Amino acid sequence: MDIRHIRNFCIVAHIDHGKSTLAEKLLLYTGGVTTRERESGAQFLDTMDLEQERGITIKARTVRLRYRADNGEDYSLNLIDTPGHVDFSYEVSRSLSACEGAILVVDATQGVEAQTLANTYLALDHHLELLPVINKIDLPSAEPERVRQEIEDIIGLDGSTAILASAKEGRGIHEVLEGIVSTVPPPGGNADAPLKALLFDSWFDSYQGAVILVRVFEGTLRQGMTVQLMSSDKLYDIQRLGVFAPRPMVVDALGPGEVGFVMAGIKDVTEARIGDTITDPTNRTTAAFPGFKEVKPMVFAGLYPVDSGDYDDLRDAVEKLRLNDASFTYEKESSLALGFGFRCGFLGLLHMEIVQERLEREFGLDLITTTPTVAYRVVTITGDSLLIDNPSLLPPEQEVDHIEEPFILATIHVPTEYLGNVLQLCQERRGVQRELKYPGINRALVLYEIPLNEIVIDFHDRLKSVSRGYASFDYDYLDLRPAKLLKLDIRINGELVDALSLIVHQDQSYARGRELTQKMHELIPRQMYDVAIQASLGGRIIARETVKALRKNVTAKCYGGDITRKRKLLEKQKEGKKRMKQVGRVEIPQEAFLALLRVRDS
Amino acid sequence: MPFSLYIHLPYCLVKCPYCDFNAYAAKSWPEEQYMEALAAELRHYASQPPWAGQPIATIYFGGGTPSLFAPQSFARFLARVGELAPIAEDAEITLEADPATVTREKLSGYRALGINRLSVGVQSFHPQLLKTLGRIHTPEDAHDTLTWARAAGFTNLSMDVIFAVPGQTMTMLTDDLTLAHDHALEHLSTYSLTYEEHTPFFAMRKKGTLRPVEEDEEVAMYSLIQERCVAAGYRHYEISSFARPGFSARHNANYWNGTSYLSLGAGAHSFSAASEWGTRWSNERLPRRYMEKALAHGNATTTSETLTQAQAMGEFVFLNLRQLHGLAPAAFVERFQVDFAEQFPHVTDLLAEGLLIADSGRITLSPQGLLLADTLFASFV
Repeated sequence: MDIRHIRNFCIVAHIDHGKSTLAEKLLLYTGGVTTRERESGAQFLDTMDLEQERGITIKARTVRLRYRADNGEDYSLNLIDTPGHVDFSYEVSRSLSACEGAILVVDATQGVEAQTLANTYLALDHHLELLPVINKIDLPSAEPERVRQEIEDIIGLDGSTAILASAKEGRGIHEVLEGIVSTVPPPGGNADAPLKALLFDSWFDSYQGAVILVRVFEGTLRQGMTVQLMSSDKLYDIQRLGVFAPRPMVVDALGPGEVGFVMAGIKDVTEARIGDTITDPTNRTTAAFPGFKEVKPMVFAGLYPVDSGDYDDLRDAVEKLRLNDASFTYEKESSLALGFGFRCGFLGLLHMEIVQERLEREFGLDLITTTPTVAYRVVTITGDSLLIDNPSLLPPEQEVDHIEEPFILATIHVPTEYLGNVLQLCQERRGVQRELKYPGINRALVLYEIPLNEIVIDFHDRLKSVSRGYASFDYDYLDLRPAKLLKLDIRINGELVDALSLIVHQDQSYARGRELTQKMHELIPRQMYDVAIQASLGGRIIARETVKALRKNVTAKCYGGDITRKRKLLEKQKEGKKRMKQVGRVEIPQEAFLALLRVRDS
Repeated sequence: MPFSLYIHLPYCLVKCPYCDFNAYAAKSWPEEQYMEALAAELRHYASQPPWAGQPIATIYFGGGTPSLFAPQSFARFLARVGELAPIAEDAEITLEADPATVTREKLSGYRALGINRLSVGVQSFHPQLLKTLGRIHTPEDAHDTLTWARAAGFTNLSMDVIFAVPGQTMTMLTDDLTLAHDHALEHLSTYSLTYEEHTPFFAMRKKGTLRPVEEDEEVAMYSLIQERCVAAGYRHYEISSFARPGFSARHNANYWNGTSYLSLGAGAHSFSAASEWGTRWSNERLPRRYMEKALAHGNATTTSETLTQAQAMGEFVFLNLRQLHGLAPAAFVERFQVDFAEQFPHVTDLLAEGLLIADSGRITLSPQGLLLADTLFASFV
């Protein structure tokens, strides 16, 4: 394919503005998918159950559309569907790097909204050409002219170029395709130059090993050739080369500007790192892509089977999941309260939830996740340096010289209207302001240095809430800094439950202890005995709550001959208990182990 | 093996707002056709194992409101029963009666045709509580019913009491118990008000328009019932049942002791102990559809389940423990060929914690265990 006839683009939109419907109609219009396939509910983009349910994209996908434009020429349009959450911001940025343009979908009834802006900033950061599309013009409440004005005023794009469309009714699809051809610049690159291709996502296939998504920038990838991954210098033979159209289709070569998949017998996805550069070992490119980084887990938590007998199943499950998710790490650990399990590392809280949900769903496990934490550096009085990602392993106070906590640099875009709220939130989270700029009318850019521990739990949600969704947020790791940190322990009926310990800042320790015991009091159901919940700092009790004993649980009622019903009610009661962990004589529900996450919900 | 026969009559004048039984408010009901359907169903089963040729030990007419039906209807039906299966000489034959639906003559009629036990749905003698419960009878109706029943020759009388009704005080409960004992009944069933899903009471509690009695108060009420009944000469023999010596409900005991029972009528639940661990099945719930099926095929079954050994074990435990004489581990071994303590090792903890008591070869609920019976039962299913 002539490079001038290639277009690489993504679609960005606020949630529910019609991104999926538009993508689907583009596929249908260009003949990639038949109407029957579409009606049968086959989804080619968000294929994971979790993705469809949560309405988010976790893994990138690509689809090649063949399109004959009004000028009579044939084009190859590559739609790159990108993940969309701050936990995966690195993955997103790599996917965007594979594009030259983006369709910006705006709902004709809702207008420009929070994520419209956030996504626009992101796309502009990657120098993408934007093609605004005003969708849902079929709705009676559509106000395309008002939205056109918003696109001019709020985003700063030429509103007159916006295409009016109704993806649902198939209106404007042709204009969108023409717009892609005319607005998105063709890629550059020389087919004979040294090979330079970007690895922008990968996953594990049980039969093929790692499947890699690539965008070729220079040179040509050919079936059977030996390639080199520049981060490790390892060599691989290309076994299969292809494109998704949307079904996988094998090709002989991928030239500059093209997007496709590579299978090269890579057994472990950890070797196929996102952001890596693929080159030809016999004719290496001189410049790898900038910004490659090894994605490191930021949040750590213990994963334990509710039923200790399921440990082996959990081990098999995490091993399998790891094959598919290089950013997830695990190592064996044990807890006095919970038995054997794994200390796992995640990119963020959403990633943690996704991993837990996938383990429970795809492997049929019941799991307990312990309170997530960041990794601290502890310097002992003897001068040893320890990396602690499990609060229960923090050495006793008298052996500790000082503790250092990780800091990040938060980059926040926010309309000035909400700037005050955002600054207040950052201050509350022990942040230190580094920079405040006004890059546009009514737009502020804030840089804050904040302890990672203050953002992993709920910072993103709080930020969205104080800015009514309009703030966008990204962060980079900075360094470790000394801080006054303490271990907060939780005792249940006097017994220390190691899995519930957490590391807190001294200034917040009392408040945190109170919040936690109160929340656990709500989450632990009444049992046959009183249950005392205490929070302590270095052996000193700072908060206490008691879950009063259940006094009566008997149905003094005659079910007549319907014994089945009585048995089923009892079975249901027992089923509820199965998801609880017995600690001593007390049954603790899964949610109580994550009480910290719930504290700020209320 | 003798078996029990249950007959469900699903019609009521009004449906009580707390009731989740298979009952339907009706201004009129197809009395004759319904009785025909029951007979057709009985004819179908009477020739099949395990019922064929076996004597009927107890018969129970439950509802709904069985006392809506005329004595003649029962007479004709019992005659049909007698033609199809031998009714034991000493059979216990119970009818549930609602005070709002009976007369002196009707009660005499029931007694005359061989019904020998009456279970009266009094619930309370307090007008305010009857109103809250949505009952349509007055305290006088209730007293009259019990007096007429005695006069009609019923020597085995039971009444239902509902406690923990919103607005009920300890004094009100004491009054109800005193009035009940004045009638010198042979049997008392005391039920705590429960808020069942899909009932108006459930919705009202959720909305906050109905405030349940505080838990501590409910516990106190249950204790009061036990004290007063025992003092009045009753034996507390099952979670919600009290009887004078010799007057425990034999029909109910059969449900709990694993005897086969055949249940006829809309939504009725049967059990056959003939297969390995037993089989349970139930009928079409809607009266009209029940009648259509029963009249056409003699069979109106919609669901059935064959118990597994584990399910049978669980049922054995909770059905025995709900009776205050408890469970005999020896009987458990005999039935399942597994040691009780081996099958349920946590029994040791429950005994140590004083929730269960082991005495003279039986395991029973302690007074505290009785209050937490469902929590304990759930650990065995």
